[in-house]
Amino acid sequence: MDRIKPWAAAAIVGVAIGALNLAHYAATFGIDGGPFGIFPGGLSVGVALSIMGERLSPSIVAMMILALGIVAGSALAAWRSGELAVARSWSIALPKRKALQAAAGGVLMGIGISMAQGCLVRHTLSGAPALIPGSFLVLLGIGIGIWAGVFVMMRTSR
Amino acid sequence: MTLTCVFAIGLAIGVFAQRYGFCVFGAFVELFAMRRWEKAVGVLAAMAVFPLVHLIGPAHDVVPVDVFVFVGGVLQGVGYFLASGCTLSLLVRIGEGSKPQFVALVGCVAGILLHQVIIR
Repeated sequence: MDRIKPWAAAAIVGVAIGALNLAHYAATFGIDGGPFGIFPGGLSVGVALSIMGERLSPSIVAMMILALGIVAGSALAAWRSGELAVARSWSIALPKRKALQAAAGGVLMGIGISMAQGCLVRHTLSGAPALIPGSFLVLLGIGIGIWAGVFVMMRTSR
Repeated sequence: MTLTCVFAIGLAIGVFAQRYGFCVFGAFVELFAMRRWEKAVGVLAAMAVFPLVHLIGPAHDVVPVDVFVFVGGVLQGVGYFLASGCTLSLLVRIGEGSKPQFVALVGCVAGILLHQVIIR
């Protein structure tokens, strides 16, 4: 992978992720509320519904299991490459501004996911390729939101 | 069996995303800020695979086309920018041991709770 051009490597990884998304769709065929592509934001949805005392549907449980798998896979890969930083990261106090920024970002993300019935990953990797018009509208909104953030950042850093 | 498969798929996605830096949000930011296309090529490649779903079965549930969905998208975009990542990269960074991303995940749960309470 290190010997080929960066865009070719990115394309190979993209096809692999796309194939896993398709495999997820096939795997969730038999469950209530399925089939569906990957929805990493489903973990937050499941936790929020649990706090509200709602009974979790099989599809929400599957989304939460997928998210736990992603965390475990990332931890495994980070451990193998020596990038695992749990002890280092958690022993240092988070600067107040950074913590507030992350929390505010998370809250906006959560409201947005709830309003748009899905996250960026779901609408990009599954909704848009399945030609769902609502997904294109969500992606337009997300693109505008990210672009606004980048625009403000570039203006203030000059 | 289904949940075991789903967990295994999640595990593989986590390994790929961590090892090779696959990130949908990162693709947007690199494109807007640096005019770099590498990550966007990866995302487009992933998108190109999914239409095969039409050979397997029905497409996803329908997302309504209305102003709330659009506003939800804009809020998400700003949220991803502030939290420095989308939901996938959030989980990947939490797996690496990142504290700010964990705070963002807690915020995300709070945001969903807030919206659910408001709409009821």
